[in-house]
Amino acid sequence: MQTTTTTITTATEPHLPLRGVTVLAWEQAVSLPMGTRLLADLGARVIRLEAPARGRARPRHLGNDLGRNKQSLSLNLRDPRAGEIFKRIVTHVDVVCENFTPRVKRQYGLTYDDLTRVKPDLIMLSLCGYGQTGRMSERPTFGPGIEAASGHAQLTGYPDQPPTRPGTIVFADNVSGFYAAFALIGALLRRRLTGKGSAIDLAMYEACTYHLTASLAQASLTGADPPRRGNGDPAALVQDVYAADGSERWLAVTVSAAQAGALGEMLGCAVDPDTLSRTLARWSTERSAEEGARALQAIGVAAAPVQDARDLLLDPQLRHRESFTLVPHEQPVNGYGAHPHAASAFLFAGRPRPPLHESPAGGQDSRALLRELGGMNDAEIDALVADGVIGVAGPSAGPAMQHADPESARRRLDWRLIAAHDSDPGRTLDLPRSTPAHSAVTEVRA
Amino acid sequence: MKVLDLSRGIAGAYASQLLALAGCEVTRLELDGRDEQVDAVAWECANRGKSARVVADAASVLDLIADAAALVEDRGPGGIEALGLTEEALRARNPGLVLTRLSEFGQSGPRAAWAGSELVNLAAGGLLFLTGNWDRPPVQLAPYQAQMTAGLLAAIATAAALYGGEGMTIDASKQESVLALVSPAPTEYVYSGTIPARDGMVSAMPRIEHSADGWVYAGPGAAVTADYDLFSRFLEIPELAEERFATAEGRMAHWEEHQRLVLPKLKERTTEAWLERAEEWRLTFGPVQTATDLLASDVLIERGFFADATLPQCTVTVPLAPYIVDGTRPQGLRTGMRDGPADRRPQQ
Repeated sequence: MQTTTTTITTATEPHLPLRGVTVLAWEQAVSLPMGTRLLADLGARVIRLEAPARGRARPRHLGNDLGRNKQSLSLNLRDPRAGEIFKRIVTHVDVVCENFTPRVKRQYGLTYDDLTRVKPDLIMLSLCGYGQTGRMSERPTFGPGIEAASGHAQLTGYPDQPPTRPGTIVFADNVSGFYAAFALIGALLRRRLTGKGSAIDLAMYEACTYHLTASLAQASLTGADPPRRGNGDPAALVQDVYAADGSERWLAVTVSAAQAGALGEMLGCAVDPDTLSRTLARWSTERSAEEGARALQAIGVAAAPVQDARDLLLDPQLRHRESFTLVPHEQPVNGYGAHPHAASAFLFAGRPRPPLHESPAGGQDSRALLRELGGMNDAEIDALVADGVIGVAGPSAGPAMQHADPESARRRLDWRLIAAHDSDPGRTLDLPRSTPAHSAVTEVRA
Repeated sequence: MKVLDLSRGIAGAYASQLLALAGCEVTRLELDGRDEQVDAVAWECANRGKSARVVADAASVLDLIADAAALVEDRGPGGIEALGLTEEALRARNPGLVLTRLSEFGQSGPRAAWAGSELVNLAAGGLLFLTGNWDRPPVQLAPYQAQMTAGLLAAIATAAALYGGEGMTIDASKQESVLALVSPAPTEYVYSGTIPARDGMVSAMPRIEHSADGWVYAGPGAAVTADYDLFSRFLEIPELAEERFATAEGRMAHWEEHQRLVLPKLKERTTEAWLERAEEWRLTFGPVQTATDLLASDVLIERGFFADATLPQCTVTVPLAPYIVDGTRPQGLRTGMRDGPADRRPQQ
């Protein structure tokens, strides 16, 4: 994992195709921040707009999955002077995006119509739960509710059990954020051809429903709802998740009809699906998930350990791809100078992953941005800071996410609230004790 | 901009379809049919909005590559090479080509040669471990979610590379695409040492349960912050306010009793009645809709979300586009494979 920092200093630069694009991200929660994070991963300059924080700011590293590589501008939009600053900045950006209920931008006079008056070729994306129009447009929402509303829960789980949520708490948020990123790049391509901006209306409800196109098409053909499939798949001869040796260790296996003979030979059993599955269930408990997967892959059968969070960080394939990037901290967190975060989701062959910079403190870049894009001088900025219109970074709180105490971890483990506990993940992952050379990382940032 | 597609699976076909949605002219090159794991309707849905062209061999692909902006393929390491195509040969004809290569685990590395499937992608990428109830094994998502997500992320990379204007090879992995959906879990582990469990973020609370007339997502909030005092008053179950239900650990210790109190109560009202009450109380309840509910959703219909699409052998209802641009739903994917007569379809 530490090779990540060394690749940054090599002659080859990361491929950052959106370099030169500026995005003003008036964002909250997870969905849109994930979308603009992808744009930042691809080289766009993303200015995250947030309200001035009250009290101590939350620790910067907690924002790294969503806020890394962004700049932070803090404005109190309740004050009309902040709205004027917003519009001045809009004249310098390519994209404005926001994820509030539709009334919020109307309330502040910051609709697409308002903003195209100052920036005629603006691209603006509005993301909310149920879209900019319709009877549900003002309904505040959250990811898990969307997962249920958009059909995912109903299609996940066992036929004899209730519908089940996708296990990642950010499923609907991330899927919606990915569609937001795609829609915005599509709009940039269109603007290059036509010279015109556009307004994009993206609903989480629709993005997540769109992700189920095949199931909807199937239901429209038969008029019936497809049943929950458990772990089965009609295209496979045998497919399931089998318990492997150890607590909470599992092996996922997909066997095609053509592989039945080879698998039967390896397991020493008959090749009908029931016998193969029963024998696999017994065979898998006698070895680690890793060994089981290797043995099955050796005869061409698709199989993998069902990886937990620690497995992902230790996975040799993800390490080979540098799928996690070390984010250096200003001050060590839990005694380590950097922690790994999921890298840019894009690997351009022959180029290193882009370096990741810790999520900014709220308002950290306000002064620099207002001088550069707001046409303001220090005296003007100071006056508006004093009036609470502009926020600048205040003192940060200490680390909020610390190693769990062993006693409470044991209790949570006993009650299956967590799968496992590692008292020192930094040692497991061989993380650096001190902050890696910051300058080498920042040099590449253009 | 012209895009060629040599995909055999949903991930690649969906990536190039999204490029069609963004205005690219996409041609599916028909060479050797679809992957055996893909069903016919899903495959045809993922190929709407493209034209199809039968190609005999690598030489005919090379003839078409000169004026293409991008080539999308999902055949894995060595896949296009086995057809007689190499990156060098493609770049010799078209140095500015964006070549998008989708695979199960990546183009290189210790597991690059491993076989994959939707279930295996979810397992390797960390989402399978987290999905399901704590008292059952991990369970997969709705069909093709790893494929759709990999296609979407590959389309983002491809569209960005087209915008950047520099020839480039994109090495997109389905395992890593699934990882992009679970990033809070590794982050929790690296800072706290805690390895999240299946349903761990919401366990020890009601999830999706029976109402009087269907299912209701009945979540009192996040596991750590759930206010059981409020929830007790909301459900009119005084016992829930007792100390033993106040924490997640306590609820797990008294889980059977918890369910004995909560489940019959949830069956007393319809889903709609619960949703109305939850909205007043600002609790995070939600409807649990099926595919046929969605096809009948007045909100979706009013917003022009669906259209009938004519596929080579049937007509289906599908979503047209995931977003509205300048007040209009993009219509580019209304058609099936425009030049793809039924007899060219890959056989079942």
